[in-house]
Amino acid sequence: MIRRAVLWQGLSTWFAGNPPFSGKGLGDLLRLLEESPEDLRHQEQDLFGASYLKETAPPREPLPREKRLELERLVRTLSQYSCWRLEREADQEIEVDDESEIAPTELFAATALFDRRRPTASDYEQAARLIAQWPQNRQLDTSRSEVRDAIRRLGSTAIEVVFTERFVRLAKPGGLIALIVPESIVASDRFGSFRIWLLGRIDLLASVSLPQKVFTGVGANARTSIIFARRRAHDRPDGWYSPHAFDNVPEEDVPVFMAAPRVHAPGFTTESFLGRVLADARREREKFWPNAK
Amino acid sequence: MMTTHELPDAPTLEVKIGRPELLQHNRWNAGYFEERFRHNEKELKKLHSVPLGDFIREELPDGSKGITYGQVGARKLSPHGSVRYLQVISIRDTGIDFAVKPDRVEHGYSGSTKKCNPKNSIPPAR
Repeated sequence: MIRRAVLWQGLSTWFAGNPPFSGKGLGDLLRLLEESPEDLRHQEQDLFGASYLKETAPPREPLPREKRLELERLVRTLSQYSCWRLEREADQEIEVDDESEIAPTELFAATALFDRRRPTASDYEQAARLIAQWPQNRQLDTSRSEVRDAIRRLGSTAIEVVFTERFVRLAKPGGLIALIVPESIVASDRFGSFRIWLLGRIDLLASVSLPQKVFTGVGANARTSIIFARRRAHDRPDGWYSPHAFDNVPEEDVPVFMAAPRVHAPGFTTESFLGRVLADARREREKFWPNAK
Repeated sequence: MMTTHELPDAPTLEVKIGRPELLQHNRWNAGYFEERFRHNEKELKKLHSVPLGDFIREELPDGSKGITYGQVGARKLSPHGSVRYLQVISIRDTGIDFAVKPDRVEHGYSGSTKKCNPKNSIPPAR
């Protein structure tokens, strides 16, 4: 039997976990937007004006009070996390030679279709402050545009990202963290800024990609990785990041161990892969983690 | 200081990478550093290729996802939703026929759509 326990942030000496992958996620938060005036106006400005499609739609049931309170509590808590309001990673400069052809600018014209100003990380930060200061005994005003933008963004944030931040928050400074995460966390361009945010709070020790079939027995087909990290004694200050921030900083030149399976290698088995990774990690333990206890 | 172990028949690709280089590439998966992929990427950069995400935003103005990576969850239909859910099967020779699949979703729904899987969708060539 699993008992629900209160987990206090910053107290775990080591933390191992795996976040839920995809599934329903935080999409339920969008229900908070359904009944407020701005939402109704938005419906009237439907892109295709296809009101005839709605004529036969039965009336929507109002959100029960308990459910609304629960969703509001989630918004108040999760809005204080960082992962949902990070900007997308800036594109790296492309090094090209003079003979390369320049991509025609009309290729980018499609993005001009979206002419509404998109909220920035700064807007989301302001929204997070507003929600944090909102009186606990008053219902959150979900007709305010900044609150709505925040809820929309939260609702579309991948659940595994939120959980990964949660796990990092639970570890105490110097504590070890081992997480099974979907491959997107370690590999997707979409989460580049989240990885940089993580590197401000953890020192990555190792990342081991797992064969895709490892968790099919429990119905999970996603590709996964295990990341091992240590919570930094002090978070890096704001603005620490640049692609070359660690260059010429000798204390940062610590190797990170990464491994991936080659499932098409002759005689490959998950057991042989994991056995070899473990043996190699043990053999080189001192090099990778010189101060490990 | 990046080193890779890439024996052709080895079951494991191992990469040892310094933090400065890791930060520069901002990828935490060993597969990214496999030499053949690095070579491809360099060649693509010479052609000024850009990620698909530069054309299709990851998040659209209405909060829905414009581009997704991998599985994004089960589709959430709602029988009382105000918006018809158009599916490929509803597109007939004579036009759109919602009677084929009379599904609905809530307004603002931004959940998953079924992934295109060419391997299973396209019949093998004869």
